[in-house]
Amino acid sequence: MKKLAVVGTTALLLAASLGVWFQANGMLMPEKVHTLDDMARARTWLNLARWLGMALFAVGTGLTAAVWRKERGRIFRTISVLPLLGLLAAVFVTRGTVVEMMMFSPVKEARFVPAADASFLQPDDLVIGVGIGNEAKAYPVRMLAYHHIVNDRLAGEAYVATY
Amino acid sequence: MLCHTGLVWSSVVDGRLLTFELVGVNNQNFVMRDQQTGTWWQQVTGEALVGPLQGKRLEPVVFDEVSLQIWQGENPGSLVFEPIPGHADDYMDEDWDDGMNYPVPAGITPDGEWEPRRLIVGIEAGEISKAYPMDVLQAQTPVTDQVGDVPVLIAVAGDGRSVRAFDRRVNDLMLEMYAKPDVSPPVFIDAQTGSEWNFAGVATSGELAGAELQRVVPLKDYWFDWKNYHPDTFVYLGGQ
Repeated sequence: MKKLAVVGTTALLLAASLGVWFQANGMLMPEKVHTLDDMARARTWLNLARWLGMALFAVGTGLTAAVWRKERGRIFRTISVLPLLGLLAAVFVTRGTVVEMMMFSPVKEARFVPAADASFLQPDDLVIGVGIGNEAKAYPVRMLAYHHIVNDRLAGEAYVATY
Repeated sequence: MLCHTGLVWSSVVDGRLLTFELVGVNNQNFVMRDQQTGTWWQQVTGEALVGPLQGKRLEPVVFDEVSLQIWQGENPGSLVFEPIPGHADDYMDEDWDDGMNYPVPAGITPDGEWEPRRLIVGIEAGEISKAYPMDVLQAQTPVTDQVGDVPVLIAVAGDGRSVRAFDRRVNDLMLEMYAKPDVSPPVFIDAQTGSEWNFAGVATSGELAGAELQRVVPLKDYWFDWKNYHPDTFVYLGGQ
């Protein structure tokens, strides 16, 4: 009974962490209309979910370790680890947001070709062009509309191209 | 993307270099988070909404939204952002914005018959802002108008999508501009001196040859979004 309580508690903690996270995410979805307060609340809750997730993972690890030491039965040992795996996944997931996962494909390092070699584009394709000094870079709109954000620099100036 | 807004912002705020990522969507426009401070930034305004840098604004970087052909013609040495391996098939189709049907923010009541998602070109001059429907610009290009104290020239190239805007004052002249028919990229002729101007805003012949018009950065945006951030905006009704 005690063992079940321990496992159950860990599972509940997991649910709590994810619950806060989902709540926060609800405010960041495209179909929702927001106020500045919504944004502030969403940010607070996301931070809370992240810290809660990590704290709960620590607690869960302790609880599971205790069960593991006392329990020799292989099946129960296996079951006792499941909530912990769930918590680990929660820690990972709550680092980001649903929108981030759905819509964001980050560009770790943007690579470029001379315009004359840009065979992946049609002449009429729109680009966002940046010219600084004698240097110029172009970001095709169709690609930028997918990645949304490219952190880059040109002629020593750092900027972010967005769409 | 949900608002059709391409923008370039400086990544340096108070001497600190920030790296941005996407965190959410606020009123149909995405919100960025910087990795360094965790502050949330609205893409279309560059304003820090919440977090340690709340209230700060990103500095705009002058940019252009034109066809590759026009850009390359003017910047032959330009580099082009290359598809990320594995994503070439993910990129948006030409008509990606046709499917945009998310609800628009409450409280946005479009004036008259303007549909919330009518594509407009927004121009700011000081505190004054004005919205020009893209379809009207396409039909009437080039449009000469006034935004606040600034007499502007707004032109769309033959591709129907490359848009540029200029301050049409040169020396002490306020130029009236006309387009040469059926030329793309457009060529303009001013009524005052008969000089020819290219799409980069440089006079290529005539009395004013070598003169350059100052750029005004136009923002392509959906009407509801522009109205949201420019509640007092003027609207261009020419041709209606």
